[in-house]
Amino acid sequence: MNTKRDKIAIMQSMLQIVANKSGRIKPTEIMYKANLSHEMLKVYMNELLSKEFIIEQVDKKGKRTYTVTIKGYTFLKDYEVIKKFFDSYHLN
Amino acid sequence: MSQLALIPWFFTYDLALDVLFAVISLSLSLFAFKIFKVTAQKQARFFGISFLFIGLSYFVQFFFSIFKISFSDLSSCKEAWFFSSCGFYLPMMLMIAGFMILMYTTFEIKNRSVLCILLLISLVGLFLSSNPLLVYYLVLTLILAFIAGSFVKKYFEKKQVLSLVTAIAFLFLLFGSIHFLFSLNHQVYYVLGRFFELIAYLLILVNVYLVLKR
Repeated sequence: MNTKRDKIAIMQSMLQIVANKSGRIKPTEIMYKANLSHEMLKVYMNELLSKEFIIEQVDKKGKRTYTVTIKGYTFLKDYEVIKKFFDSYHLN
Repeated sequence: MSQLALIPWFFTYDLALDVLFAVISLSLSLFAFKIFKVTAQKQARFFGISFLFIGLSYFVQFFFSIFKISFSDLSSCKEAWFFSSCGFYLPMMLMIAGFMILMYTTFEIKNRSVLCILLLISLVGLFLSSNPLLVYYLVLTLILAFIAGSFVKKYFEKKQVLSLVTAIAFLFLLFGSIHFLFSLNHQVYYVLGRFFELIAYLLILVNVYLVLKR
């Protein structure tokens, strides 16, 4: 990474990773693929969950997996416009 | 504020500009609220609120200018005095609130009390001053100077076309505001200020187009 990624870009990256393997991805895999620290993963996972962009599923063994919601897919679809809007007014 | 524009030939243009700026501001506000709906980012919501206030300020200004012209013969009655006072103070309050919220968003201030204090100080100054227009233009110029300065600084950090358009638009808003300060003594500066405002809002419109362009 040459430049510091902003919040919106990290959220898009995480959502895209979850969307690519919807329902079959574990938190550690998201952490590695999105190039995040453990602390940052926790912060952003909570953010995505609270905004209802993803939902968490826990199986009988206690294994957690994630699925992108319709709201999350809308975010991904409109990401380019959102990113440009945030960039032009330096919102983050 | 068109209460200053006593230049007869400019009055109609002044009204048209109020409507144009209101439409652009409210469209930008609506766009920001749509972005907020998708992202749930607080900053998008505050941005939307700020331009909602700015847009409403222009609309209220337009409405009261029309009222003033239509009911100029009723200037002695109490209702006319009340409406005239509302028409004078309300647009200024809305405009200061709008740009103050924009400053709050731009500088990523987390504490809402800071916004409330700044807003209260500005409004108290406006109401207690013997020259409210001077206080209004002065406060607006200061807020715009900080916002424009921040956008220029951020453009030099990222060097993106969109950031450049935003920075230039807010610099024009600042130039406009400075001219309004001088317009208290020379009315021609009011026309110049409105011209700079027009360039600024057209640039904001260009920015929206560039954002939406796929």
